[in-house]
Parts: sequence; C-alpha cells; structure tokens
Amino acid sequence: MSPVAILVAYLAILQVVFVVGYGVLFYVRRDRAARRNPASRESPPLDDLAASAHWWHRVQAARLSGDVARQGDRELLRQLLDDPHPAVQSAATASLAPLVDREVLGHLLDRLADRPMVVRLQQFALLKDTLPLTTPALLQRLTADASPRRLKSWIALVETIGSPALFARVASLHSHPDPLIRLSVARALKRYHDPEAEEMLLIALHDHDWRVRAVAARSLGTLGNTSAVSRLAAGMRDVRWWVRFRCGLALAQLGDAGRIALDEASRDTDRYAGEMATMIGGLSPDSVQELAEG
Amino acid sequence: MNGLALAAGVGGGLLHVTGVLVVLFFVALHTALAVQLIAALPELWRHWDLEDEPALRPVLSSEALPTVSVVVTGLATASGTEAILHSLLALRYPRHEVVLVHDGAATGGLAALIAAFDLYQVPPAVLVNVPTGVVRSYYRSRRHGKLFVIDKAYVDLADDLNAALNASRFPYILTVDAGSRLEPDALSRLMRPFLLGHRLAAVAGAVRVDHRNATSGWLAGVQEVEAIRDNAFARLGWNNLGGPLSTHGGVLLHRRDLLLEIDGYRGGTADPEFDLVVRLRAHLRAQRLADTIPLIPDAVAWAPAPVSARAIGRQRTLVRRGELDVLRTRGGTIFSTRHGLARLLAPIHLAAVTVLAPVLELAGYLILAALLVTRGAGDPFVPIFLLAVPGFALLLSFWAIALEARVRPLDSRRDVLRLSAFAVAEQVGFRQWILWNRVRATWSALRGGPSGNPDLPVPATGTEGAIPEGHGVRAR
Repeated sequence: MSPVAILVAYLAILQVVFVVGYGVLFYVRRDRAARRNPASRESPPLDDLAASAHWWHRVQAARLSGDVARQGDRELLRQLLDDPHPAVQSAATASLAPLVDREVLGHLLDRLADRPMVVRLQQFALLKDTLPLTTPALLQRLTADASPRRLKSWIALVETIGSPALFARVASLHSHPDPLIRLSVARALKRYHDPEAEEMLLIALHDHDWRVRAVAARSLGTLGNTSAVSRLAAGMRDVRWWVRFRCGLALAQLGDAGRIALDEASRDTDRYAGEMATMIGGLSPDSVQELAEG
Repeated sequence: MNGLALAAGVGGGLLHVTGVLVVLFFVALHTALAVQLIAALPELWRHWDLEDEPALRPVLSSEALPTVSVVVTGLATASGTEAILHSLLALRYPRHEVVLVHDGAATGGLAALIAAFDLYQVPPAVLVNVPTGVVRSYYRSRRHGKLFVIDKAYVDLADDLNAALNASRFPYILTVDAGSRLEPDALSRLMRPFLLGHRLAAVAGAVRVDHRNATSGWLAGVQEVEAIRDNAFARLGWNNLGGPLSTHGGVLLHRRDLLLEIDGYRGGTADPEFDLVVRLRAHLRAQRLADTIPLIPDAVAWAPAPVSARAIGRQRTLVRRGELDVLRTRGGTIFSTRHGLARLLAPIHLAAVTVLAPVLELAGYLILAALLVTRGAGDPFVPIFLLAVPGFALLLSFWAIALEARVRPLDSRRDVLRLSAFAVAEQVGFRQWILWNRVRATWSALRGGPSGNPDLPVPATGTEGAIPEGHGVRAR
C-alpha cells in the first residue's frame, strides 16, 4: 500500500468517526426533543430510565415521574430531585409542582442550600406557590441554631416569598454570630416595611463587619424612610469605601432630606466622605436607582 | 564527480528525511486538532442540556442572577466607542455595569464621550487593590448609572485592565475589546455554567468574525473560518481537560475574587489575558482547587477581522509573542489543574503549534518547491505533503463549519457554501502567506528575548488601520 493510499485511508477513517459522532449527537438530540412530546412516549420502563447513566434519559424519567408519584410512588421523584445533574433536578422540580406535601416540602427545604443556583431559583418559585405549607415549615427551621449554610438559603427564600410572618422571624436573627447570616438578614429586610425591621437595620449600620453595614445602608435606601437620614449621613464617614458608597446612594434615594444631607457631606472635612458625596450627588435619580439596584 | 554524486546523495537523503518528518509532524498535529473537534461533540451535547430545559428559561433571566462588571479596553474610534457603550449598556441582563478605560492622549475622544453620555468627573473614590499607573480622572454618567469611565495615562493593556479591576464593583468581570460586539444575551449565556453549581474559575466565549461588516472581503472570510475552527471548536475540545489553554480572540468572564488573589494582570506581557489564565491555573493548583475555565460554544461576541496585510501581520505577531512569552516563562506550569494529562499535553501542544509548526511547514514548502523544480509533480512527496498539510486542514475546516451550523443557525445553505469556499481559499494562498508571517514572528520573538511591550498599540481584533491618527478615542 502506497503512503498516499495509507494517508487517504486514515483521513477516511477520521471522517467516518466524525460523521458518526455528529450523526449520533443530532439523532439523540432529535430523539430527546421527540420524547419531550407526550404523544410519542414510546419509552423504556421508568425505573430503567431513572437508573440510566445518560442524563437525558434521567431527564425523561423526571418528566414522567410526576404521573407515577401521583399514584403513590414518591421515592423515584425524590431520587431524581437529588440527581447530580442540574437538568434532571430541574425537570423533577417541574414535575413536582402539583405534588408538594409536607414531607416533600421538608426535603426541598433541607436540600435547598445544596442545589445549583438555577435549580434553587426554580424551587424558590415552587415554594412560593405553596405558601400555606411553606410558611410553617420555614418558621420551624428559621432558628439561630440551624446550620448557617441552610439558614442563608432559607433567608433568601423568605426574601423571595415576602411573607410578614417570615420576615418577622428573619428579623429576629439580626444578631446571629455568623456575619454572613447578619448580612442575609439585612438584605432580606429591604422588602419588609416595618418599624422594627428599620430599627434593626439602623443597628446593623454599626455592625463590626463592613459588609453588613453596607447591605444595611442599601436596605435602608430601598425602604425609603427619611428617619434614617442622620444615621446614613454618619455612615458617610465610615472607614470602608463600600459602606460610604452605599450610604451615599441610600441618602440619594431618600428625597430632599437625603439630598440635603449629601450636599452637607460633600463639604465635610473628612475628605473621603466629601469625595463620595460629590460623586453620588452628581448622579441623576435614574442613575441612582440603577446603581442602588446593582 | 564522485564527490558531487555523494553530495547530491546526502542532500537527497536529507531532503527525504526532512520531508518524512514534516509529513509525520503535520499528520500528528492535525490528528490532535481532529481529536479536539471530535471531543467538542459531547461538549456541545452537555451545553445544550440546560438550554433545552424549558423549566429553567425563566430562571435564567431572573433578577437573582449574579451581578457582572463589563470592562472595555482596546482601540476604537470615538463613534465606535460610543456605539459599543450603548450596546453594552443595553445588554439583556438583570444587573450589570460597564467600565470603560480611556487612555488616549488629547485626541478629543474623551470630550466626545463626555458629550454623548453626559459624563461628569467624580472624585477618585475607588478602592485600589492592584497598583496601576496614574489615573487622570474618573467619570460617571448622569444618564446611565451603569457607566463608569476611567481616564488614565497609557502604560499597557495589563495596566488598563488592572485599573478597571480596581474600579469594578461586582463579583464577576467580563473583559471585552472595544472593537468587539456582544450578543444581547451574552452575559446570561456566559453566566450559565456558573449557575450549574460546577466549580469554575472563569468562563470563556469565542469571538466570531463579524462577516456583516461592509469591508469584509475574502480576507475576512478566511479568518472567519479560521476563528470558527481554531478559536471556537478546537478550544471547546479542551473542556474535557479543564478548559482551553489560550483564550486569545475570546471574551472571558472572571471571578473578581480570584483575579485579586493573583494581583490582577501582569504588565510587560504581549498577551496579558493569556498570561493571566496561565497564572490563574497555577494559583488554583497551588491552592489545590479543582476549578476549571471552560469555553462555551455559543456565538456570544463578534469582531471585524483585520483587512489589511499590515494589520493581520501585526495581530499575528502579537498572538505569537504572547504564546512564546507563556511558553518561555511558564512552560512547566501551563496547565496547573488537577488534570494531569492536560499538564503534560498543553506545553507540548503549545510548543508544537507555536515553534515547530511554522518552521516545519516552511521546510515542507521549500522541499515541495525543490522537488517540483527538479523532479516534477511525479515525486510521491508532492501528493503526500499536499494531503497531510493543506488537505487535512481543509477537512478539519469543513468539520468546524458543520459544527458551527448547529450552534449558530447559518442564514442559508448559501452561508455554508460561502464558508466552505473560504475554507478552500484559506488553504490556497492565505495559509502560505500567514506561514511566512508566523515564521518571522517566531524568529523575532525567539531572538528578541521577552517581548515585554511589543510595538503596541496593536488591536487584538484588528480594528487598527480604521482609526485616523490623532482623531480616535484610544480606549487602550
């Protein structure tokens, strides 16, 4: 065999490998799309799909598992909810919607912190839709001795749900020893229009962790209560850039009283406070809004 | 007479051995590229899982997505800078900011920006985490709270990127060249891998050549094919080994905390972004972190190709110098991740592509010319060389076009034919012309020691030449 023929044969083999790979890829993709159509469910037994090594089979199992779970077998759905692949977790979450009971909900809440962010957000929406069940389960869990990791995810959930009873419980965690929990609390309280919450945010403005102080200032700006103006103006002298920045933005959100305080701060003998106030003072209301939300 | 015959025999033998070496080298090199393209197939598959998942679509545009600072550096005209800023401010993403670094001299570009965006000077209220050259002033926009402009003296690209790193507020940073254009949903697409819960240090996206540019000709067309093959899909294949080695001609979404941990970008390098990726990998290895830097196949960014011979030449020189810099300074630690195979393969691959390939290919063409002159086309080396070098490369270009047709629905069959025609043109003329440039760049970089600051400014995306001297905004 001549070298040219060997080379041609070699290229031909590579071409075949590529064409087969390409064909399999797009066949499987089409196949997946077809299986999504309920009218063409010519699928193998559900248990086989759920145990498959291929995630797209497990996604299909997750989609179909809702029917089985309705007939009493919830173990499969739970197994798929805990699948390592985010797409399977997502499909199982979508199938779960009409089936949430106390037990399933507890499982969702306890594993919430372990989920990839996309699935967590999807489950937030699901838990919000089942509020009568979610509220007591969350109230039971939102305690200072809970694991900080879980606590953080539950506080974020409360921020999404927006229920006053839950906010009140979250506010009670404002003195938690973990600064990340205090930070989560300060962030969540920006959606809770309550004098007690505002008082706690004012206390958080003096937290020894600068991140908590910055987030508290941001929440006070969002709540829009002008009683915070003097404390925020004092925050313009904070040693941390971020705290001064957030206090300045919050003042700019608090109407005339805040703008006057900013104007005064721009003439402050503290150079850093003055510079920050000058920068924020030049922004238009829309720009302040954009920055404050960012 | 005997002496002459002996010399001819030795010369012929040497030619034969060199010819065999050249062919074997290119078969191996192109096979490696073929393996990367085949390895890109399952990567595409993995990538589509969430894109296809209907339940996740609303979540991917959620307000809860992490915030991103988009950093713009590079060369562009005043109107070009204005256009890219408008497009970046309008990106479809819940919360992001745009940080532009303007380091032009008194060209009038800054004045144009001040007028266009109602910029006002603000005090230097920026936390300096990484030391940089002197910043002249900072500007905010009264109209767009998301916009922040840094006006500073030009030092080098790394210095500009560090200034932007200091000024950016958000936990993720996307670096973009001023000559590029981002797709409206680019940030969501680049952020998606982070949302999956995998351990990532950064996410890369390939920049495609913008063929809609009116100045596009065949030179732009062949570079489009080249970019699809080498920058998009060959690099996608590296995802299996922890992510592509070089990210030149791409956009990178970084985690700001990691950039600060390694003290930002390093000055005095030809390609600071490439250097940073290499240092980042070394840092991850030292910290025993398994975070990777994957590439996503999506068409997220576009840039016009350089269309003058001079611009192409300078761009390629810059790329080559960046690669040689990395090879020289960090050859042993290029791929410091947990992936042992990659640590072995990456320096070999980089050395083969950067140093050996241009030299051996040039030798191959010289042998080809010598044989054609002395023996005509009948010598077996002629078809073997043509098959192993331009022929094999052409086949791989066709594969890349086939993959591209799945990622970015090409407008029509005519588009596929257009790209296929450019793929042929790349192998007949353009490749040989670029080869000469690569040899010169490699030689000059090897001879000149560390490249330091090459005769910059040279745009990474080839907008150079379009800027009238003294009238443009030098954002870099």
